[in-house]
Amino acid sequence: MNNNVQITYTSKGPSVEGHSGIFATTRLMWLELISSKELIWRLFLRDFKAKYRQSALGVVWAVLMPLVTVGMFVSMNRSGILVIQDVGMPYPLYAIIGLSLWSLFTVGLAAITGSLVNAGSMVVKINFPKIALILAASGQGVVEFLIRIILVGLVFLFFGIAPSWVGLFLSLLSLIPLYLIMVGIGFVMSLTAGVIRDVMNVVNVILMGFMLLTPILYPITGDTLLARINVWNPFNYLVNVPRDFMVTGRSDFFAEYIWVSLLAVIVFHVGWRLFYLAQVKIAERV
Amino acid sequence: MDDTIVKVDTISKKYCRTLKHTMLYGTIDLAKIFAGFDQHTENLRSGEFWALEGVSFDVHRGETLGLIGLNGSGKSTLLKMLNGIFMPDKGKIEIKGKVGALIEVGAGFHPMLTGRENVYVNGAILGMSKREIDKRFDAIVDFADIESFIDSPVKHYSSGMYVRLGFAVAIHCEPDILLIDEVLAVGDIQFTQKCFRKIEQYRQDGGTIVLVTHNLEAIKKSCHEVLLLDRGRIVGRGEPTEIVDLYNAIVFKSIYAHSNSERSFSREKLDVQINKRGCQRFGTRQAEICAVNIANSDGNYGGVIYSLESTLINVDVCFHEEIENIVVGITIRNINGIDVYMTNTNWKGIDIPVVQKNMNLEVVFEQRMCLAPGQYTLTVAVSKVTSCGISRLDWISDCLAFEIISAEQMSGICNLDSTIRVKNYRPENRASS
Repeated sequence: MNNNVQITYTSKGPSVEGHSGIFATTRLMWLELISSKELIWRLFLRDFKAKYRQSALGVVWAVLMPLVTVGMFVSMNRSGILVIQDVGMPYPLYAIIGLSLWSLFTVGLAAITGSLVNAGSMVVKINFPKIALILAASGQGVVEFLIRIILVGLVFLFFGIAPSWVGLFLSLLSLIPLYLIMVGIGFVMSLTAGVIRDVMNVVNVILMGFMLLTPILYPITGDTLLARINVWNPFNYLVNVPRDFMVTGRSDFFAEYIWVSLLAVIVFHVGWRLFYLAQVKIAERV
Repeated sequence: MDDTIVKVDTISKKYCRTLKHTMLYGTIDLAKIFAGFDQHTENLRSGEFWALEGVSFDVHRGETLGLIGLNGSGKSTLLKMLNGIFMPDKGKIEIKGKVGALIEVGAGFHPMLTGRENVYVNGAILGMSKREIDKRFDAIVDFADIESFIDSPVKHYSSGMYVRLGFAVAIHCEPDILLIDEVLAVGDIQFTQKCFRKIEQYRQDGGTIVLVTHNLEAIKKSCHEVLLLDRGRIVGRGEPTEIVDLYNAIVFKSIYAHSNSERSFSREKLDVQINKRGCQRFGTRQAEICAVNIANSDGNYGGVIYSLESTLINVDVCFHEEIENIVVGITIRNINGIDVYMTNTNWKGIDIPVVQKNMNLEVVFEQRMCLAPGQYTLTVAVSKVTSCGISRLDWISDCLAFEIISAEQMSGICNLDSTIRVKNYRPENRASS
């Protein structure tokens, strides 16, 4: 902020001289975001370094967790406890890709939900753009996902399948809506957790349940209730379309994906706006 | 051009009394914001109270404003609102320029990261760009005086180093308005002095300061104007010396109210007070202490006593039987439980004649209170000297509390009232060269 700008604090929150009208809030939101670039990066680095510094296995953990989960599903499939229909590719590859994509959402959302509470002492003592906490936390999901992509590459090699390079690129690009919806939901969750801590646990339980009900580790098709519900499940498309891209370079659900992406953008923007308006009210409750 | 840099217009702020209400109202408020309803913040809901009410003031560029008041009077809340952390529930605050806060330094430090990394993180939180931090990095490390530890994780820092580094970062962010909240109470004396010098320099360079402190000397020395807050309201505003006196009066009233007029207790109240306040009493009670008073030489009780002031401590004892060889003594104890001074009639060579049954004895101790500022208690005892030692008749520990204040800064447990002489001279052996 430069010296001549006057900020006014009222019960409705801060307002900056020279910004008024219906788009004032949106403009201020973007200004805040742009001015927070440096802080977002610093906070992200801080969390990243702190997380792996005093850990013997370090980033290996990010790879170990999906391996164990997928291993369990593969052995359940082999022993016939769980019958998984043909997925058009080796099942472990299918599962590892699905889980890695999904982890972008879950790891990020869990980190975002706790971010405001974990920075509680900072939030009540220093005035800084809180959005930096959220976006820095979302970076943890991205990092863990990128590490897991290496695992995915190894599994491709193991099965001797070459991914389509264009598809891989498209796949990463098509993850943007998943990221946006994660941050959008995270905005609201982090605020709510600021008031009621239970939200952090609830989010973890719901994420686990959602993973089992969404076609991530196994396809859900046919005329079952779950399959019919999943037609309307945005995460169905947000995970499966990038997976299709990665393996085959094309997807049959592109039209649905576009609609869901639009939804993701809306969720992101609404979440962001609520966060922007409510952040000043939350400091005194954290 | 209008040089008002901070304009506070009848602001009020409410808080919840309990965590339960915080969660309930927090949820409701959040839901209202999400649903786009207007917030009606003007009224109190049950379980809420006004932490600040109807506060207005202006600060002009280059001024230093002092805020004083007892704990819980709303000083810190006010600073947090000036900093934009909390929003007022009523009224508005207008601020021109970058606000920097020395409110609680080192918030946001991560124990696993090195000092260097934390300087960059903390700087970014305080709104500095990487280039600005690069430019000031050496000055920050130099100010914090931790060169050799800058690449160690801060969890290995001593608490002093931690605070010094936090303070160094905060003070180097060059704000237009600096908010200071009692941070100078931490760290060792050299560092505190260094901070004072830095703040003084900032002030002389035309910086604007809002200062919260209990250090009345600092207030008198550096503020242009002082606001006195009491239970969320401004009760005094004006010249530092005048407002500091008003503050002392409030401190006195508060001690007076808390101690339930303990400046002189009468016998009826004694047992209640002892139970309530947990002071110890024992003895044979053949004679009982029925009143204890403390007053300055004019006979006024301050609750607050000036250091070096002459005081009278009046002990009244009633006798239930005839007793000879009586000794009456007092002990003044400081907040750390150290007996700073003890005396009694025997040591002073005063013989008390035999006191008959149902008679009272009044003993007055007159002394100058050569004590360092702080809180003290008074313990009183009546004993009888017998052939096989001393027998306690009545002994009440910590029966009175009082506070010593001083206009002069000092440290330690007593006030030796030094006079200082200074002279410049040339050493003999260098006279010729």
